[in-house]
Amino acid sequence: MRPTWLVEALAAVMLLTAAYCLGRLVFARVRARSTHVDVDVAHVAMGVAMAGMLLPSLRSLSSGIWEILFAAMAVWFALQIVHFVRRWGVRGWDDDHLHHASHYATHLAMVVAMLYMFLALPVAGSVAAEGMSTMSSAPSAAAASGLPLIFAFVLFVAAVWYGDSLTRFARARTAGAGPAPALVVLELEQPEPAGGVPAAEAAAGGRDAGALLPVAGQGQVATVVARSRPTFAGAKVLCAHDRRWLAPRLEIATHITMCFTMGYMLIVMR
Amino acid sequence: MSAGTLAGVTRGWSLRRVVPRAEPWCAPDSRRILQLSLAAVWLFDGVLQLQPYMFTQAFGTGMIAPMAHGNPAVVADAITWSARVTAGHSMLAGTAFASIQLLIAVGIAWRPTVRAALTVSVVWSLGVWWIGEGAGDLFAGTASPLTGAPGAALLYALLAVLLWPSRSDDETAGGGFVADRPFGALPARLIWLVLWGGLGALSLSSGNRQPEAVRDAINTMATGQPHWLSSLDQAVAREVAGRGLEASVVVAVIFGLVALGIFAPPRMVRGVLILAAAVATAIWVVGEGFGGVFAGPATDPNSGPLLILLAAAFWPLRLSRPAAGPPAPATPGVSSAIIAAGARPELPTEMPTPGLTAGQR
Repeated sequence: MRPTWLVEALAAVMLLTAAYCLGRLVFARVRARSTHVDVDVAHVAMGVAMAGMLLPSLRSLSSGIWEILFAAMAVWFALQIVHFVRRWGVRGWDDDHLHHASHYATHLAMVVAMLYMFLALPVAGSVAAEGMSTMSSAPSAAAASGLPLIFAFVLFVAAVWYGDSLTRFARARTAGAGPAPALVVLELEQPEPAGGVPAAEAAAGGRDAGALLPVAGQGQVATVVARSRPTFAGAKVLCAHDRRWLAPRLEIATHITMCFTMGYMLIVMR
Repeated sequence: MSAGTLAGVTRGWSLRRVVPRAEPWCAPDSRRILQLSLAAVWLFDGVLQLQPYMFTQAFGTGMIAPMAHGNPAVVADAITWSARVTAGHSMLAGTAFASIQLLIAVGIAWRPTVRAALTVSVVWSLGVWWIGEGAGDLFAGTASPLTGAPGAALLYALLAVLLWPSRSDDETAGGGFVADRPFGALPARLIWLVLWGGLGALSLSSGNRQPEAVRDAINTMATGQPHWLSSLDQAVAREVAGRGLEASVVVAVIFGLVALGIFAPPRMVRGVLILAAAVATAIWVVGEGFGGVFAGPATDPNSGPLLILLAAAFWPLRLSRPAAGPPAPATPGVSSAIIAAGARPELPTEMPTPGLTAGQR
């Protein structure tokens, strides 16, 4: 007995995810909201391609076209990583830099895994006509190389990594909710030399250090905690203040869904 | 907003009274990274459980039932019953097993449910250890640390306990390693001592001292593996052929060093942990054949990766204890405070970026 229901369910989830990411692109354009265009485009492509791998009746483009597409995306994401590291380095300016730095790396892994599935695994090529639900559990030559399992494990690591970051956005919403928006957390420190820099100026200058606010009558200064940091596209989803970002948790959910489904296919199709 | 306003706001107000703030999010620390590693392994296991083979009767009859062999009735009866039920409801059982493991992975990865997921993982692991692994063959007398004893599932449970999110979130608290946070440094080290000391004792058991015991164990795992792995296994098996006693003694000595080395000074402990990770890797590759994941249907990658994770949990985060000094003086008036919206810095929301954003370009 084969779990055909699982394959069909995953194919449906992939199509839904692709449709959702397509909707994100349109909605973000129309409503002037922020999103990762390149990532959403990649998710649309991966979702449609994987649905076709899971169920032959959903195949849309030929394998050759998919291979060219995913190769181009791999180059794109690799360039983004190089761009990121050259601009920001591997050590960043805040305590969540690992999430920033891993953003493009995980998507590079995803598109390379897609490319690998088309090039190396039989189900994506000539055997695809029978569909994955009829694949046997006997290991193939590709399985013997270990690459499918390595790809799968990398994707699972990425999935739990993204899962860990979901709760960041709960904080963002809490801080921004309610009738008194834009409350800023302050920590009061020992007196500093007179003439502290106004917070707004410091923030506008993108200072890494907290901005100083003189507090009259108390001889203390307040430090704006980790709020005056610059943002950039690779990390914009991480910024608690960027309310223009379109549904960040749903975006992360699409990453997780993609990673899980791809990992499943790599393991089952090997 | 003026500074005076700020002062007024800070007087008599606390942030928690005004804004019901969620627990602040912070970047993953060492323990969290190890928890996420454990979650990734659970996710891997859950997906392995989704392989078509696991939804067939053969999973019950061919994978669970043989675990009863050689075990006492208290273990064997439970295994036989479980195998029968699983084989009779293969689709339901396969779905349930995979779902539980996937939920554990998701639960550990999502911060609000870490404790619940770790609790479930302990219960599930012990159940799998008893039924799915035949209690690691410890009662059957055939357990060998080279092939996965005392059972990978037991290590999952152990890791869940040692990575428990205790109150102490200070990385430098306690003895300075992740595993010491739930119970303290000494109990954690004793757990390590018992585990590795037990592995050493197992390797000296009568069954493992037989002249061909080690060779046979390795040869068994070589069956069905890819050529490169089976060739490696066979080469090692040839080296230890007829030298079961010597091999067992060498392995036991190494295990003993690893077990006792955890009590050494931090700098030396790091060396011991590197040795432990190297031994675990060697066991994983040669003795366990990567848990058989290359050979066909497998339910988990066996104990090698978990022993490495365990070693990471004991890694000293600092090499010397901080000098004891007087506590920092309390800062008068230090508190969390708020300022009203008018004082909020206008944050730059857009920077020149390496990526593209829709709606803004």
